[in-house]
Amino acid sequence: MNHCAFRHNRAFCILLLASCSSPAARDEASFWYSYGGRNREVLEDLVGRFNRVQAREGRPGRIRGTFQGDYFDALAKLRAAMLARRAPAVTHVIAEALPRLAESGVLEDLGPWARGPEPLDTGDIVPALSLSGTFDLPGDVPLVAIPFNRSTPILYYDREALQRAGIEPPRTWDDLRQAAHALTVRRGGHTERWGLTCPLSWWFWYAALAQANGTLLTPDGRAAFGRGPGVEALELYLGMVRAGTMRLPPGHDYAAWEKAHADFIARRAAMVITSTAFLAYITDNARFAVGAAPLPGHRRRAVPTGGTFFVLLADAPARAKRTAWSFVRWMSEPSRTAEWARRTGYLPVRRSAVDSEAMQRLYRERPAFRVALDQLDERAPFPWTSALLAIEREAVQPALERAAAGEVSAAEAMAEAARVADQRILELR
Amino acid sequence: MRYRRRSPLFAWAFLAPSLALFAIFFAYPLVACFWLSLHRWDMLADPQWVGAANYAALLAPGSELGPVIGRTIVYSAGTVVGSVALGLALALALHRVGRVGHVLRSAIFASYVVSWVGVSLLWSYLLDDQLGPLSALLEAAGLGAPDWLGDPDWALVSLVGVSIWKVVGYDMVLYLAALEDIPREILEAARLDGAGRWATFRTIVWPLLGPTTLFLVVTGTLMSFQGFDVVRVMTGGGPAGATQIWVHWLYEQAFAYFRLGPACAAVTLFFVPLALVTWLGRFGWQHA
Repeated sequence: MNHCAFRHNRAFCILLLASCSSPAARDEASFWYSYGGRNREVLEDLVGRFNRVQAREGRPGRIRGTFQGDYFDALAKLRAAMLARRAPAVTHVIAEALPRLAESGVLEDLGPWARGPEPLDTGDIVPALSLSGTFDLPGDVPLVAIPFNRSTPILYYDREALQRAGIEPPRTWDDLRQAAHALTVRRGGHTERWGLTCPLSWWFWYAALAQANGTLLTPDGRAAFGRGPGVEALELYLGMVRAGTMRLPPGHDYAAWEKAHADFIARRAAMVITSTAFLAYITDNARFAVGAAPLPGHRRRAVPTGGTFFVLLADAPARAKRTAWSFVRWMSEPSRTAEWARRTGYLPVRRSAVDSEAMQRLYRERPAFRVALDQLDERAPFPWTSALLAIEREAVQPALERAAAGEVSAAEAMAEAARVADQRILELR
Repeated sequence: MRYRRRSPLFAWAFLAPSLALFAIFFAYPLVACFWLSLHRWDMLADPQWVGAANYAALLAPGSELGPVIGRTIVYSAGTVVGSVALGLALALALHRVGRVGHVLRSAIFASYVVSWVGVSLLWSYLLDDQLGPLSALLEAAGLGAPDWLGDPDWALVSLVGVSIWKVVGYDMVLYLAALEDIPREILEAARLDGAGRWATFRTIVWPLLGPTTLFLVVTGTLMSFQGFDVVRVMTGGGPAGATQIWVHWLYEQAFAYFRLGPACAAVTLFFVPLALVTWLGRFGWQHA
């Protein structure tokens, strides 16, 4: 009987202990991330190193990294977790999601942190990759995000295929169409190699929109892409698909990206337009020489920036936020962002990292890593509107898919997209 | 003492745990859902009252709701009819055929045990238009293979096929059990009376399998209306919304577009036909 009571007491104590968090647990900050594959391995390695540094320096607080699916899955989980007060202290989100999150007040203002006891020299952040370089930013937006994995789309090509066809990497849309045609190999009714592959997604459409001199919104904040450049941008890709020179990778969202990469690596496509983020992955896996070039221009050269920013959640406990900030600061150190860039293909986010000997050597040895950086001069910023994510996900992306499926013409698709966008802009205003 | 036991309080005390669970996990979400259906809410700002606007938008001409329900009915009918018919055919073929039959039955039933996500991943590979063995086989035979998951005309058909493959083992097993239950005397009597195989099936076997068929149709319909994993993994609702069926569409409205108002309004609207189907199902049971 006594024995039994003792066991019950012990179990009770364990429960009690578990329910009061220890001091170390209170300093722990959870970090939600959205990577698969190689980039995930690199990130997990960095998180592990941060925790070892913390332990070595006797600082409290660890980072507990959790994979949360792709960017969009993670955003859904984040909003649900915020309602349930189970949100992480730190996560990284795509640029398009920032305006709405910032406006609703859930993001921590990082300005005071950057000027605090653990300072971060925001003046050293590559301007094009900062908040104010990514968006047409109104003056009153606080520093809610620090750039983490930033990228631009670039054009990858099979050097040998281009050499054999006697062509240079395309510099204009016309060049691109001709190159795609020249590089396509057909045997019978079967396409053995496509000239180009590219997921038909928002980011690449936005690049073409800007190249055609279009904008997403009118000066008074309504959808401006329903006609003209918006349609032209979509037609650039659809025209090549119809001509049989561009392979439209099947699948939803990132499934299509993976298909595009796989087709290029297996030489079923001679060129692929995708993010610089896959540079290390693609060059390591392709058994042929991979070249990289800036995206072809049209009326002008232009690329959006992509990837994510670190954000801290305002509602997180103060001590967890302190650990989270230490982590963001550590990850943003010039040597770390340079290492991250070298190991993945993302852009280093600090000017001093770009200028560092290590990065300069990399750029000399592997010029492909420089392409995205050079393209930053031609960046096309996003408008800072709370409806930006809705415009991307609900208006433009479905329109691209419907036109690609041949259900509607490019003009009809974009007109409908503009209508949906205007509705969401009104709702979220 | 006796009186006390009869007290309604006593009954309520026993009911309390189930009632609490029902209230928390069923009643409250339903009421909250109805309340949200009258608001605009993106899980960030406070919900904003919009009255019946969400319902009006869903019921307006050109709304997505109609096509989504249409596709759901096609998916559901295809899956249920296909799996019931194929399940019955397999059961008839493998009924009383010894050891080989046992092995085949186990093999066919195996797909039912595997998770939907696993099945979906497997078939994503099998149906891949570039690397998939199915397309390769068809092309080797000189037949053109459609782009199973990339062609809007084929994608839903492909998902129906995968779903049939997944559940047919279950239908087969239930039919096998039902076939065992048919008394041999009746079949022998029919044979002595000169009934052929088709006549025996039509007039004796099929009517006696009635309750099993009804059960499979009802449970199959319920299951296929909840179809989600196969869409989520294989097509994401694409291409161009061609496989956007009910639950996946709701999920997308709520957790990809963060439009909780319209999502909840659609759920509330759907509650009416669902209640009707449930009632019809019960009516069917009582008369079966």
